[in-house]
Amino acid sequence: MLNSFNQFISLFPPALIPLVLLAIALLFIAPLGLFAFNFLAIKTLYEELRKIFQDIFQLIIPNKWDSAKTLIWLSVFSWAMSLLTESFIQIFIAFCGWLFLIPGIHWLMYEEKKIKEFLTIEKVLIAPWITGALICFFLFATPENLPGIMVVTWPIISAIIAALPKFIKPGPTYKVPDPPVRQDLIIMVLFNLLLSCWLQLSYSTQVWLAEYPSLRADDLTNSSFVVQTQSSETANSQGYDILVQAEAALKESLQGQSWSQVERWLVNFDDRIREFNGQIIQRLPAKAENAYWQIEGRVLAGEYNVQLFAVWKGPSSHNAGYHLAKTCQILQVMPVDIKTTPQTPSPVGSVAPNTQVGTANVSCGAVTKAIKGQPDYGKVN
Amino acid sequence: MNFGVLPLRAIAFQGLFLLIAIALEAIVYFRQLGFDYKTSVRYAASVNLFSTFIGWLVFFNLQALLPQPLKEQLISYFFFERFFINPWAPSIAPLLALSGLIVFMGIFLLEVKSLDLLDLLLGKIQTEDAVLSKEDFRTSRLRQQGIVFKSNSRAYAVLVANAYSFSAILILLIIRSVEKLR
Repeated sequence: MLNSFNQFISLFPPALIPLVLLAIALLFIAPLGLFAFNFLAIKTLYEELRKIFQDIFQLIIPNKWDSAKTLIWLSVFSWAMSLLTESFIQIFIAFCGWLFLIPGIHWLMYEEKKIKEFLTIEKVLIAPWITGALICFFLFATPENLPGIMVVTWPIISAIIAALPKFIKPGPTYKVPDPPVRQDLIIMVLFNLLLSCWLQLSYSTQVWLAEYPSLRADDLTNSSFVVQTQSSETANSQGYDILVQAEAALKESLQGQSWSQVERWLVNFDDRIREFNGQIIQRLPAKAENAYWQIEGRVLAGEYNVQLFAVWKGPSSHNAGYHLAKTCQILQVMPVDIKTTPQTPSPVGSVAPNTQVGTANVSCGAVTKAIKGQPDYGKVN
Repeated sequence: MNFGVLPLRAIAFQGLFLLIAIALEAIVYFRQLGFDYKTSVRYAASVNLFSTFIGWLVFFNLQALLPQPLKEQLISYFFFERFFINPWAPSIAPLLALSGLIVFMGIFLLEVKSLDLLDLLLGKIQTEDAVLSKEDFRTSRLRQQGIVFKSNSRAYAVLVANAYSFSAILILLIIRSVEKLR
């Protein structure tokens, strides 16, 4: 008995146990005379609940058979049925559900006076735009993405939906609308066409930025066409990736090589940089802007400091493009003599056994922020 | 869709220019063509919206067909309001002047044609014939004297209207570029 009680208690999360105990207590106390006190409270509670449910039912149950709510209920029914089936039958039933939903909502907005009033801004009913949005979503949206064509055709379809009632005469037959109505129709249709052009422009902007991602990281405040809503610090121009890969390539060719090899390598530095240029730029994701990136470099004074530049020669807010720089140091590391205790701890690098000449260790600093103009080879910094 | 960069400024400027152009052209139509005020505003609105829409169509098709360096100049202008160094850079200024001229003439012709189209759509048959028959006698006499007189007041009105609206837009652009320089 105690065991089953323990099992019962363990079903509930610990916070709920006091409530359960309270419920059990009430269950036992109620017949003991508190029933008379609770009766009135229960009655008013029941009345309130009844009123709430009545209001809700009045709202959602259609009062005549040919109302908008019928259509919406049909679509909910189709959706529920579609959950029970699978594969192409499910798609078909869900499709029918959408086909009921869209006219249902459209009709609903015209039928219910309160909704119609709510949706009227300055004597213009915005219901066709809502229906148009639903239709565009139904036609073009996929589970993976919301394509651009969906947003661009939305104003056009809404204009058609808003214009259609004017073409119908009670009959119902087709009629040509009379001139004052025609003028308003023309202006409305043209305005919606213009809206869809504006939406298409924003999609064109996206496409351009995708093709030239380095423009995103630049300063766009001077433009009289676009506005930056998110700061550009999150975007990294491709120059950053280029320099990271250049550092990797440099380490690959020099790390752990013997010092004489390093010096030989550095003699032909310009050719090496040109090789880097070809290799790395080709490995970047293919974008139209790759033609404007170039890797340049120079050897600075000192045992050996190398500066790598990623130069952008394309469109930018600075007059002559900009560049990013990365400074690398190639140090000579002497081999550790295992017999004697090391005087200085050897830096992290490779240790080449049995060579007199030290080996190279490449360490690079971080990539600098964009520097205006082309790299200045006269300046030493 | 990434909401980082939006062409809201372009939309705002175009809305502003459209409103100004519609107002100016409505005044010109009201004066020159004798419509009442409401009709002239509606005519000006329809004609301007139509020509703006056609302009956008031409723009979208053109930017798909441009040679790559020229397209990059366009993109550079769009994002940074400057042109960059490029094989096409020296020829940008004459290209711009030429395209400005073409745009003006094109919009003028388009608006004349669309005014006629609008009349057709609205079912108002042109009273041009009545006007022409009255003036014919006078123009044939003038023509005999060697003066060719074109009595198409509608095209003249559209030309004047366009001149006003383009000048207003130019003034606004000049003001803006002066502001930016400061």
